[in-house]
Amino acid sequence: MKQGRIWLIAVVLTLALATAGSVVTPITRAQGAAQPAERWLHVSVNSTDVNGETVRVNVPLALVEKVLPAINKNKLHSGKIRVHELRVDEVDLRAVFEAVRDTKDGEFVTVQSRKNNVRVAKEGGYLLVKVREMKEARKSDKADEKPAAPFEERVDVRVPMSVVEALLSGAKDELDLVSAVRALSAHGDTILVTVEARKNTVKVWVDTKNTGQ
Amino acid sequence: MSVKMVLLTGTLVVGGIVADAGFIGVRVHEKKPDGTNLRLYVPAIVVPLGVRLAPERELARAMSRAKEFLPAMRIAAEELERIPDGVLVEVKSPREHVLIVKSGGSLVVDVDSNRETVHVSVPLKMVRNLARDLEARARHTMPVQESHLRF
Repeated sequence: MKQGRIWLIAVVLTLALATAGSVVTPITRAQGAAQPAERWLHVSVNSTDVNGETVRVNVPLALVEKVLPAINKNKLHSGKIRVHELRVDEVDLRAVFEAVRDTKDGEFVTVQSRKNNVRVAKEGGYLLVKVREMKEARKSDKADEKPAAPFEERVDVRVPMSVVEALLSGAKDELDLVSAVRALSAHGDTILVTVEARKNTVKVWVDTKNTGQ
Repeated sequence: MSVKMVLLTGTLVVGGIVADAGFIGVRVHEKKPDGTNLRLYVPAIVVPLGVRLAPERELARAMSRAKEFLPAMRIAAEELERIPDGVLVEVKSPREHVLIVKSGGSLVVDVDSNRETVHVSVPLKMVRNLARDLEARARHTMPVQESHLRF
């Protein structure tokens, strides 16, 4: 009887010791859990094409903010990107962002044609880019299918100015990506990009959910 | 009695440590006659041990290529450990379905394509500790190893 009790105590104690590590940690974390809601960056791509892809990406901004400075490769160093390496079609992106930051609310670019409408503006604390492109009716590959009706493709980009300012917060020759991610996280829930094409839709947004629904 | 008790206690302690570290799971199933059908479950605790036992020269060579990614790997593992379980990446097409999720302290990758299904599960705690160990090792040994390799 006495021997059995010793065995029982030994088993219980050992199990308690073995599981202590994995039980105590969540309890400690739960006690210090009163923190602001974490923001997640979501990307959603939907395609109605027969061979199309559906893509979902859900990444916590805190992860991006912490991992970026640890990557020192090619153009990226300590969470910053050097501007002279960031010229797109000979356009100096930093100069563009600086011009936008220093200008009052209003429209910067308006292009209107029969098929295209492009508008770049600064409005209510956001940098807005709006593109509308009329796609003509298209014949179907299959004989028994109706031709696709004309369709207006829509692209909307909406970047908080606080993010633009954070991008420019580093030295003259660099863009501070980590500060921009931090500013995006602090900004709150927002839709950054929406694209509506004939067969694809894309949405990039930030919120506090981890599911991307 | 005392020998039995020591054996039982030892087994339970080792079992607890192994269970706490988690398991690396790999499943590969090729969708063709006589295709590969692999199921592998390795206690995560053997990975750091394996790294310690690996030949210094081979390890140095591998680390010279991987060292720049180790801090990012460690930080990513730390952050992923912290977040709630859920889908991180999902790609669906008629040809394949790729799913990367964080589930119960592990990073799980599932690929289901026309040709095969692949499942890989890696405990994040192991990734974090391994990256930290390799970083420390790279800091202390790399200059010697690199110069050694150069000659």
